[in-house]
Amino acid sequence: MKTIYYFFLRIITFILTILLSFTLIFIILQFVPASIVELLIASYRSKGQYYDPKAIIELRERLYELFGLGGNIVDQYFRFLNRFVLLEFGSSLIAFPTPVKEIIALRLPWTVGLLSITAIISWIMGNILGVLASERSSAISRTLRAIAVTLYPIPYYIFALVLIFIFSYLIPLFPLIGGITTVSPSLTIYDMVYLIKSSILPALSIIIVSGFGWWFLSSSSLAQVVQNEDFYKFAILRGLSSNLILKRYTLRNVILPQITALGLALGGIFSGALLVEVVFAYPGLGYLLYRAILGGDIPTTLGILSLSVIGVSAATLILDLIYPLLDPRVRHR
Amino acid sequence: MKSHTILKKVATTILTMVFITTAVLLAYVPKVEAQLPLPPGVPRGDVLIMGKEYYGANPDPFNFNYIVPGNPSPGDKGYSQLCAAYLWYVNTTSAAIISWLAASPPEYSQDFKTITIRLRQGVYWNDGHPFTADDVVYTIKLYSTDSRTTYYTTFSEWVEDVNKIDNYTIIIKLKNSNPRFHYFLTVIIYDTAPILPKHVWEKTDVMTFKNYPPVCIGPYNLKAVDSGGLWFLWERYEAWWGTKLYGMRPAPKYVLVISYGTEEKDALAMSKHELDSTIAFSPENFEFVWKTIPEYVGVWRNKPPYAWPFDACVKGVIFNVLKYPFNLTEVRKAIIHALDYRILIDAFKGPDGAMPIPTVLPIVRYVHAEPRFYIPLKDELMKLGLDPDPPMEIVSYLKPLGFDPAIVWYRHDTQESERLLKSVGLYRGPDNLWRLPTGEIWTVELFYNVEEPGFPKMAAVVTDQLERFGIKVEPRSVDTGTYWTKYARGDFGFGLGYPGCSLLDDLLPHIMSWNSKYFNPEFPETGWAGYKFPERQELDEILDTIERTPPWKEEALLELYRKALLIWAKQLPWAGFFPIPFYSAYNSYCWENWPSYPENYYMDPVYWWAQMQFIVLQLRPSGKCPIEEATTPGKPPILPLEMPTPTPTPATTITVIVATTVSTTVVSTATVTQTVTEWTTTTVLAVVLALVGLIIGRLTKKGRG
Repeated sequence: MKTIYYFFLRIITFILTILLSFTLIFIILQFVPASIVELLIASYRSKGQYYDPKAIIELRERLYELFGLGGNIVDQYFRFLNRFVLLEFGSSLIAFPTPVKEIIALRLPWTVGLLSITAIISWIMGNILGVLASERSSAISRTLRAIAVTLYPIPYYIFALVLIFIFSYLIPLFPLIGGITTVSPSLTIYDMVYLIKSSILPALSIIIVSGFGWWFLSSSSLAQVVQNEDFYKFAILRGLSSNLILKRYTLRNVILPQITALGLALGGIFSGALLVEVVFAYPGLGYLLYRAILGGDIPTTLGILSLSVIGVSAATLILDLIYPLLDPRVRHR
Repeated sequence: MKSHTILKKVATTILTMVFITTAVLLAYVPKVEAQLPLPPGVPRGDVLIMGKEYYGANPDPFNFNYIVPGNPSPGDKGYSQLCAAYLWYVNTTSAAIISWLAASPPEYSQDFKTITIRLRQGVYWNDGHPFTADDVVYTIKLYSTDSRTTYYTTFSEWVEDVNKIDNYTIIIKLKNSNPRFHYFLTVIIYDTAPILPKHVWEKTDVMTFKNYPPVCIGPYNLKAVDSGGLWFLWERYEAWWGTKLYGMRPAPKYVLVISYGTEEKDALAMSKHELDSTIAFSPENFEFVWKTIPEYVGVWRNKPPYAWPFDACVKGVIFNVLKYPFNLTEVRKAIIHALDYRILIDAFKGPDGAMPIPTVLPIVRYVHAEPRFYIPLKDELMKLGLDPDPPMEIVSYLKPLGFDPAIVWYRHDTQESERLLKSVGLYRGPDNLWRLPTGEIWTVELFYNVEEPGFPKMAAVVTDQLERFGIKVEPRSVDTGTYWTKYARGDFGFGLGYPGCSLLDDLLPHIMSWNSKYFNPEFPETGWAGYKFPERQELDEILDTIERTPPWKEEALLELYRKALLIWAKQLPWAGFFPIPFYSAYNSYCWENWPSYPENYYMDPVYWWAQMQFIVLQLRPSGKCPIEEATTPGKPPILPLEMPTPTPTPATTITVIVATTVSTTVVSTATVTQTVTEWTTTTVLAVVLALVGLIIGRLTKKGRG
């Protein structure tokens, strides 16, 4: 009974979180001072299209009408909420009249593919190396920690450009842009190899920076905390093998908060990784979100952010639901 | 097993994998074209690689519908340069009209309410359908009646009716007299309303039709599109009408329009010969490319100073002339005299010595505009406060380029600024800061678009200069979307902008909005059209007269334009400094015969405008890159004018483009194979292998020990 109540409460929280987040996002977007209509008119005029001033006035009115930006804010809110519930976000304004769903669908596989794989690889690598390197005495441990501490503060943009400069320019092993398909995309080995080759540099940059940076340092610190606990010292005094202590005591305790963090990280991939996409010319959601916000494209911004909200909320819900399986203390409660 | 032993095993495993991977990579040396998204086997020398107009991915790469709002940049995918074609183009070097799909310039009736358009005969769409009057009639009717199209507001305002006389003659009846209606169908800056293939579009809903793949009428067809929106591949159409009728044939077999993500990567690509043209580098990135491939790089000129000085808009300070204190002419002039143009020019001097051209009028100082506007107004402009003694560095720079070195910018005269400000009640406080008549410190917010090239630097210099003069400045930088929204609504007092854009010598399209009858109080912008001053009525009358005067009455128009410009100069609602020098670079490693001033000046380096078609039609292979299907260019793009006899009145200005340096030498197209050996790669990989092997050996030895 208690378990059912626990699950029920978590699901209600999930739904309310999503609705509240959507409302907050909508309100915040109203404060974005950019107007897609003015941006378009400026674009037409700066590109030398000959408009006489009377035509500009009428064009402005027509664009507001065409983009559905008329009406008061309450009408707009319910219109967007209705679309959100149906997962129909209307037309993108920076690529009008292409539906928002369509341009998100073009980019979602790239984002999910790259970020989910790199998140998992960097999580596994960072946690294992971090825990193993938590012993201070070993030379390799010290070297690994020194590398991690050095890499972590380097701004991602700089690190990415260095990788490009070395591996796409000086030693041209990889193409200058990532994520591109070949001329006739298909499932041939040639296309797959090309796709993997052009994704290696962006993936490597994420894995090194987050794996060797965040995951390594956090798990190493957590492991050291565990190693100071009484139960750990008692396990050593009992004569248990290092391997057993590592698996049953250190890893098990370190992994719990790291699973939560991984869940949230995976949930957050739907907003893309802007810097990765800009630097590596990778066609993901991050750059699209950036352009949509700056262009005042509310439907596209709402669409991507809603996806992100749903992703993070769903990840939190799943974690809440599986936590009893991982942590016996929660199960007991 | 101790954890450090496990760690050692993990490290050994990883290093072994690195060793194997490096060994595999050592055996595979990628060729240049293997890094590019080309069909397998296509050599580099067959491909012209153009930079996309915008960095980063295009939001909807499969949308080639440019007649609905939201898709304003056909040059981004190469559509306007390679696929589309238009009735008329303007040659940027001379402002002359090029008749392209139209056989001749437009013919107007005496009352300018009827236009006759004659189409070039024998032209056809690349799917074989003939290009006829039906296409033009359909297009104009669509624009005039479908309110969802971008061009509706313009065409519905003017077009009463449009019909064909025969398959190649169209008559347009206008609601009101307009001797410039044809500008709506002429590529002036960038592009214009495209003519659509009726047989394709009449079966569609314009709002949902993506026009993918587009049916082209230009020399290329769309071959492939990156679903991520980063590149677009175009293939030469061997049966193009231009080839069949006139012997024109572009040399590149393929054109790849691509974005490498950031400007830095474009610079890397160009220095590796993986990019042939780009919109504009910053001076720093241009310097990198120039130093890396000095013998191949060029911009407007093929030697220093390289930069193209004629970006279509003059950038400088703007005022909202409806807001105090900028509504006072004395205040505007005071600010202008407080600025030192010599410092500004120095700040924008490029690494190649290129300097911006000081542009005191709100029109770009093109080679063709100089004798028409600047020189005739020189004496009057000098009286309005131009620097009578410009520095020798600027004089010696302007003269060889063909500009009058006596016409620079307003003199830096802080004493005059003081006098002007005091004359309207402002005064300096004890802290040397200027104060308004009310006693409060005069704080000026400098509003500008941080994403506009050159503006951050310009803002820094202007802020510094005004603060030295004692005006407190608060820079307010905003992004592009916010900037244009606030600019349109007049939500600023003082800032940076560019209301002065131009290309034509017939200035009306560029200054029409100055007329007070077009003032929109809800969206006033700088407020210039709504500004009341003693010569307001005179200016409005001049502009009304210009509207009624056809563009081919050049002498009469020039007189009127000069008067209008002088009135503007006396009021100074804004003061442009110069067009920011553009480093629109080309790389002649694979392709040569790029336009170059002055010896090969057939077009400006406008690779993202529709006029790029004329450049593509004249490029030829350099012979340094392996080719298979690239050829020499065919005949130069000079099309005959097909005027009917007798010529109906009024006679329009007829100009003919002369391409001066097109080679007609036949070049052999034998395949040239080159072995591309990356010795750097090989050496480094070998060293890495050796090191990794040593480390593995050491680890394993220790383990056994």
